[in-house]
Amino acid sequence: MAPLEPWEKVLVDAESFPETVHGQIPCTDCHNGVQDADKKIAHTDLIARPSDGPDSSCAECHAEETEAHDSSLHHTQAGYWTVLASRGASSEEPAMQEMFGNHCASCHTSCGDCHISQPASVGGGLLDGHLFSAQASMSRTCTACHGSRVGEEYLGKHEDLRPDVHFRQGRMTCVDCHSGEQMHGQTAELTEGADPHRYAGQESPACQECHPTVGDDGNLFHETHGERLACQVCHSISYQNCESCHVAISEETGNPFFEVESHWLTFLIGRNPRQSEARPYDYVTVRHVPIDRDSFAFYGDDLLPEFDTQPTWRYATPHNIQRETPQTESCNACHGNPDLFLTIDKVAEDELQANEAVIVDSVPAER
Amino acid sequence: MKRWIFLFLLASAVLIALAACGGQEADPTLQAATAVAQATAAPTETAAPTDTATAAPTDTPAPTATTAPTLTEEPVADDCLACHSDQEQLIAVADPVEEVVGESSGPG
Repeated sequence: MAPLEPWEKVLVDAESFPETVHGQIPCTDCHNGVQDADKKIAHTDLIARPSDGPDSSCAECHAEETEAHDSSLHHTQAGYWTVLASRGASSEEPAMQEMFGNHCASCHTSCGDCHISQPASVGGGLLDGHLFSAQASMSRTCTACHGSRVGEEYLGKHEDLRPDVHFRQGRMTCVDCHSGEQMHGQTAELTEGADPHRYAGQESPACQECHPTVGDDGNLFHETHGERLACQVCHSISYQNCESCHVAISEETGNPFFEVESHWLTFLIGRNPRQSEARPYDYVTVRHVPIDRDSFAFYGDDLLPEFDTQPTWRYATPHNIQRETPQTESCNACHGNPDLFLTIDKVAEDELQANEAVIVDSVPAER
Repeated sequence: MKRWIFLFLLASAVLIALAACGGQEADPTLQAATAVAQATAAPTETAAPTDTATAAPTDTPAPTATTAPTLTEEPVADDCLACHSDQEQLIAVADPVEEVVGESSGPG
């Protein structure tokens, strides 16, 4: 996505915006500043991003959404701390706090980052002349942040790999599955004490919500495998994998940066490390994530002391669903085919312990 | 000689008389007085039925009452919108942009 020019980021549609509900509110009510033709005077105590503040002006009319958003992952970024803590990192550790502030905190998202502008993490700028949009733009907000895995896979940006069928044929956007309620989050009261893992609890969204007849539709594959396979095992194709990401501060410019040692496209089936009533599958798709034992070595030693307690090949839900894939061609496309399974030979030696729960010991026999 | 004196006095008298008549026509005080007298005697458009006139039906309408609302009805200038909807103006007053060279590598 090309960055906007500076003027483009703040250009207001003077014809349309004043006619909208938000256009009836004086600019200074949300942005502070003063009415003056001189830029310097006009911008006195300016609030460029009103929805960033703790007393967001959005709450005056959108109290319910704003309250929920306060505890949403988009706002709290608690998802980062959940996965970091699972490897022994502490949010109380000053070195980790510094790392987080330099490399993770910029992904924080406020109301305006979805409903009026591009997210700050991708340069910001008004989406459409300061017109508010109830539904976030998929390509300019959602996949602007969730791009390298979700966006590129869903939109078919990888050479020779088709876009997700939901986009290719259904023209569905993110919010068609991930509702506004999910995006805004739940109030802290509702989530207190719950397992914070992204795959804890019921699948949401679940494929069955739109495909309720699967398993009872005369399809031999569906009837044979039942709930032993996650849908993606048969219906997704190659997806992005990364390894060995390290973060640091540039000596030259003083800016934070990251380096991913390598990345590649592949499709692999692993064992389900989080089997539960809601996710009873024996097999799921697994993706190698960028984490490394020394990812944060720039900030201190051994900042992930329990690195081996979590797989580096993670249970994943690729966003490149197809009705027909190499796996659906025949039984023996998978059965007896070690190329499709995360067997021990595909795991780096120093990650064997971390991946014990997902490594497939024996490939299902040929039929 | 007496004849010249007589002619001089006659000319002076004529000039004084003419001067006196011209002065009466140009006197602004008298003009204003005439205008006020006309307005009071015959109401013009500004004194014709308005809210104010209805509220206070007097023979001498107050001129300020009819002009005040006009001022408050004028749109308030919006400097924010005026600047932020003017592309050329925004380009002219934009702060210089420091080019940041991305040092990261690989998928984010």
